[in-house]
Amino acid sequence: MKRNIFLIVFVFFATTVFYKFGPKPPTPTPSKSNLDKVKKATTPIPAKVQGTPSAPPTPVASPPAQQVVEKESTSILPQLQKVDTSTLSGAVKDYSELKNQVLDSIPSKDELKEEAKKNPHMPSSKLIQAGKELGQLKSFILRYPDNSAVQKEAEAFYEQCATYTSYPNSIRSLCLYNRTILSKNKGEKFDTSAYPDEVKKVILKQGM
Amino acid sequence: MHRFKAKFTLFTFFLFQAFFWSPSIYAIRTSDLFAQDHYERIRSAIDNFLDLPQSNSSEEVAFLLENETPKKWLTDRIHYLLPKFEKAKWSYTLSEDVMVYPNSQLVISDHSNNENTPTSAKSLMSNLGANLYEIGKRKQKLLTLNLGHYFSEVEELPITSPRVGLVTISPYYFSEDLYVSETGDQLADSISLISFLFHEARHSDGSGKELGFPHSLCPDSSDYAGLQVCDQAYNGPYGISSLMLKELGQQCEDQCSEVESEVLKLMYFDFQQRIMNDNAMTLEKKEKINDIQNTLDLFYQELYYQKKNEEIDQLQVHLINNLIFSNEQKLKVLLNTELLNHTYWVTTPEKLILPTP
Repeated sequence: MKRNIFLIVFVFFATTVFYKFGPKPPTPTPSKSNLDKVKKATTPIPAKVQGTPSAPPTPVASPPAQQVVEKESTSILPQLQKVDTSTLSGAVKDYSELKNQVLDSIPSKDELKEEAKKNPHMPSSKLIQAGKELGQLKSFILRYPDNSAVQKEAEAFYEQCATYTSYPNSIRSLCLYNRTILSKNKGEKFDTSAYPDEVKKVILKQGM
Repeated sequence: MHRFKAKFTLFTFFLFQAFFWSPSIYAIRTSDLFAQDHYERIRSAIDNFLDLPQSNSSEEVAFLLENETPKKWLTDRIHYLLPKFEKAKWSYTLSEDVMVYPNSQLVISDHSNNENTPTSAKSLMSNLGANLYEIGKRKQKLLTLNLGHYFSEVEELPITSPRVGLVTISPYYFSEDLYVSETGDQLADSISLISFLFHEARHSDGSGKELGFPHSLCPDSSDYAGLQVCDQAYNGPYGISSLMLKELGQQCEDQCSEVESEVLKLMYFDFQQRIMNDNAMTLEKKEKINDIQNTLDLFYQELYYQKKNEEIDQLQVHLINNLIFSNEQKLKVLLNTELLNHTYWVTTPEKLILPTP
């Protein structure tokens, strides 16, 4: 009994100390900084503010959200390389063979540009071929939702592909999209904040 | 008796029209000069699309298509599909009289520097009508295209607007390496073709500097840096075609294989990459941002006064900070995807008013 009372008192005491002396988040800037171009709707000022002659809240600098430059984390992951499948077996071997075909099919940005010069309006045939290989890989991955080895390999591949700066942005976006789908299938949310805007903008548009 | 007979014949004719005339066959005319299999693929894609029930378009589609149904929008802008043969020369005449074109001081010269091949020889699909209108405008004369070679029922077509609706398709469009499916005749291929038609249809719009919704140079961050294959306009050709690709792709989930869906998705991502200002704000979105900002302002003020109190209610402060954080995150997402520039181009096409004789 005494032990329970002690525990309750201790938790209460610890909570009070935390709120009193714990880390305090900095006061954010009043929002005039980042939306100058957006015409603001008129908002009724609360009574408390109307009666106060003092200056408005002092802004404590925190940079506007859209000015934060995101860096690509290319160095975190190893470069994409083809796998020697001779030592592998089962589903992982099949997966790795498909992945090797995907790596062979993905065009570089330069190749894409060369083809766009000949055929400006449409996606290049190389991009379409890469899409087909990526589709084969995806349908294989979706066939093995409970094979943790395949799922882990797939997650790693999509992350690397989305990070690989030599790949066209469209391919990277598709890889990032598929990576978020894999997380979603597991009831998790994949953090896309480290990826550059040109790669993740379509993912954000889809509300993922 | 004779009058009655005539009336009866007329009545029967209209009855026949009402029952058997299918607008989907005639809304977009396709030239017989296409190779047979190309003709069939085009007709099958268009007829399937025009037969689709289109009552449930997304808000974004409705916005970009100016609240018209996709079917009407497309058939308003494309009337004729012609094959584009290599080194083909279009047969046209120019009026003797000088014409006064609207916005004549703003003539774009990029597309039409060679009048014999007004559509780029490289392009697999192009809007011939818009290009010919530009030629007429540059010369300040009315250009009349002779279409008799392509359509038996149409002889001459005066190009009085970029929206005369002439689109050419190269035979190379149907080459095997551009198939979405394995055989090239599946629903996914039709969706791809329709999305390109929507792209070309947008080139039928605009006036002045924005005549034909021309493409712009891609920025350095693009896969196509330095090439003129991007759009400044949020509602430009790539915006429309990517949206239709997405919309129709969602409808084909049951009928398209995983591989076909993946190819369509990749095409969608590719088109999206080509929109420079795809995040132009609509009024609704502006208001959404304003609402969040105003809410944030109130929380900032509340936080300020909470902290000024002698006895700070830490629980309240913590709560406000959490609310500020969540609203800031919402704002960040909106700002990441919504640009501050207004890049919605006016779509009304130019029209040459012919002088009355």
